[in-house]
Amino acid sequence: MRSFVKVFLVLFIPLFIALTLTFYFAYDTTTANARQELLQEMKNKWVIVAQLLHDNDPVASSTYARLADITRRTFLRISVIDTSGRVLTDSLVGYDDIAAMENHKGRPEVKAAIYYGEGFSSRYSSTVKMPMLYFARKLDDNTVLRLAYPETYVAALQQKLTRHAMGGFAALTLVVLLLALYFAGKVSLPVQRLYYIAEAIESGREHVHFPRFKDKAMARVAGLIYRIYTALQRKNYELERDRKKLNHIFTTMDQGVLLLDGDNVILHANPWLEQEFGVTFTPGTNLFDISNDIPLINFFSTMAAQRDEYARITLKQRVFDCNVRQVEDQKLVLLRNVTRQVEYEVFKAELTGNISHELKTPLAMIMGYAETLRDNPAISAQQRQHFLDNIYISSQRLNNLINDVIELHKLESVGDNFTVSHSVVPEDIAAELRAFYADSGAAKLTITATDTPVFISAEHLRSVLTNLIDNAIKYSDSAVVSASVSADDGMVSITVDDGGPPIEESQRQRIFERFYTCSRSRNKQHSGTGLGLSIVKHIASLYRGSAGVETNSAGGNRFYVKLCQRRRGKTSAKTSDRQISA
Amino acid sequence: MDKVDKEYLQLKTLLASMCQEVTSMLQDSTTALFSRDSELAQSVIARDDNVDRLDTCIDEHCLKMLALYEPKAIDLRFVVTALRIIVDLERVGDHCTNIAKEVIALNQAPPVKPYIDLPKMAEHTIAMIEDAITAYFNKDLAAAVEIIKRDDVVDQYDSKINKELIGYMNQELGNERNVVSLMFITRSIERIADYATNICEMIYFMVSGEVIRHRTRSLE
Repeated sequence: MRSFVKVFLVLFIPLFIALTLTFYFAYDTTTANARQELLQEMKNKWVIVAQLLHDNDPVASSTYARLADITRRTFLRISVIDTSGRVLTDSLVGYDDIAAMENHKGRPEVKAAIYYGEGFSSRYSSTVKMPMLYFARKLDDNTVLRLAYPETYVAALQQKLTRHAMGGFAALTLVVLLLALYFAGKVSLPVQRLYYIAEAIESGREHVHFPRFKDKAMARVAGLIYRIYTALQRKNYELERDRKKLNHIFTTMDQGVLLLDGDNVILHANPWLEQEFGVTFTPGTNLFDISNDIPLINFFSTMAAQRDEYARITLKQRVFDCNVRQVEDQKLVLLRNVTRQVEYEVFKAELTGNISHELKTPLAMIMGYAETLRDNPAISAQQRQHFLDNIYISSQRLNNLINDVIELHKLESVGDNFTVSHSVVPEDIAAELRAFYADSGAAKLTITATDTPVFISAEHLRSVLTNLIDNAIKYSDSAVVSASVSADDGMVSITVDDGGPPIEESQRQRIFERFYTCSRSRNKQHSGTGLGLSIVKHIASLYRGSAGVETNSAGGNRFYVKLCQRRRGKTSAKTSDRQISA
Repeated sequence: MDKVDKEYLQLKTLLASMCQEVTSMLQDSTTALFSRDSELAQSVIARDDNVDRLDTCIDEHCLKMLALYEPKAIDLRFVVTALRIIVDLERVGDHCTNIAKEVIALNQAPPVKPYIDLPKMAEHTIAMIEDAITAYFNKDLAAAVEIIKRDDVVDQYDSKINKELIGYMNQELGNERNVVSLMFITRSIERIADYATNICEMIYFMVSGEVIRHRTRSLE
């Protein structure tokens, strides 16, 4: 619309001005010509009147009468003025009043006639009360003959002209206006249509209507815009699809993806980062502006300082693998939480070290004694027997260790979804153990057990009790060890009490770790495998129970294990569950 | 992001780095004491150079900001406070070095006694320093006042440990040198907590424009 108005104004204003000027000058010229014609007419009349006055005395009353008669008939006023400006006769004034007329030397036409021979002027006459045209010329006797004629002719002509000119002017203006509107529409419409297309594309409207153009050039331009627009739309759609796909990948990734610019301003961050660090990674914000937590700032600082390299960075007990890639002037950071992996690596290294250490000790003893026996055939029978006993004890220890490792491995391979198909009576196991420990002749052992059948694997129940009792006998200073097995509401509770010394609170959790012992020196004294309590804890976790240690009333330790019965069809009725026969 | 914002962020990262360095030095020097690890104590002494380097670096950075950007009102107080915080953090670093030296000396002899309150005192002090710098970043007046009040807990630990050590000195004659070393360590940790209080007083000034030094009691 704006372009239409612009074009219209550009066309209309100059044409209108030209039209106005033309009319103005035409009017002016016509008026000037009319006045010139009138003046010429007066000059002619002056010659006639001058002839008349040449033959008569201008002051005589008869002459006056003739002049007055002319005036009456033709409206031509005739005056005769001497060089001093005195009016000698005036056809319009009464004969007797002529002498009283004011001096006319100051009149412009009279003055011009006196000095230059002739002159004229046009002015309003106070005598006849109308605009008059005056013409004066010097006569032969040095007097001035002045003629005056009303300008009514010129005024009438002007009126007539004005009337006609206004009509013509209005008609022509209307024509010019219509022409300007027509051409403005013709020129601006295609531009308006192109503007509409551009506006629709710019505003991101989904469907843009491309109007038809009659003009070939415009149709070509519009066609080009249409082709570029559709190509861009296609590209945009593909980009949007790729962006969504990429976002989905980033969202589901198990690692952090962070894109930073050269000033560490966040360009992209996936949700993993927010979950991991507990701060919002708003795109457009500087990385160091999102948190005031000092360890986190230092973490980001270390991360941002990386240049195309891999680094392992620690943040409050957590370990992250940080991989930085420089992409032009941007930086792509990939973060992965490897805390569990690091912990597992440490655990694995410790476990391997412990197993090899525990295996090497009895093996070294066996090898040492065997070597002595081989190299010294003349050794006494008593010493030989002593060495052989030691070899046997070490072999037994090695065997126990291997058995424990195998048992632990077996427990690990059972899995969570197992059931027990046959019940076992704890008292039967207790009786069996009482007989076994009575033969060993160690501490005084009392075992109390319920005779209610429980759905716990006999092998597992036996293993828990023997490991706990063995542990109590080995590490307690007390001569009395008591164990009990009770069943209540689907749970089986096993407790083993000793007389101390009590295990330190800080070590109560750690003693259930593999190969962990409270005191290394004590471990050497008592030849345990270091896996007993680990087996107990593993069995407890298999039965979704718990295992722990606390101080008992006697000042010693009470090891307790709680097992949830895994009866087939009650705890889990799945046919695919593994079954363990009691 | 304009240049001034970049400079403020750099100041923030440098201060965070210095804070982490001194708190880890304090943590390691006390760990070296409890675990009798002279090697760790030696590494604490070596790290003091890094604290000094950061001190110089932040000092120059702040002066550059003052000269180039002529900050006004709270921005000016933010930079001036940073200049004063680094002085205190540098002294904390020096105290950690002193603790580490005492630890090396202590580790030459059998342990004096089990440490019960000293680890708690050190932990409390480390938290005070970290929280003070976080309060500075957050321009948090309430947190600053709360940290100032927490200094009383450290003072109570200081008094309790010293009383215990004097009692121990009277009982165990011949072990005075080691007990005095422990007293030095306790005093150093107490002084570090005082520096955290100083930092909080400066934060109070930075946020409110009001100087509360030497009249912190009135806050309670």
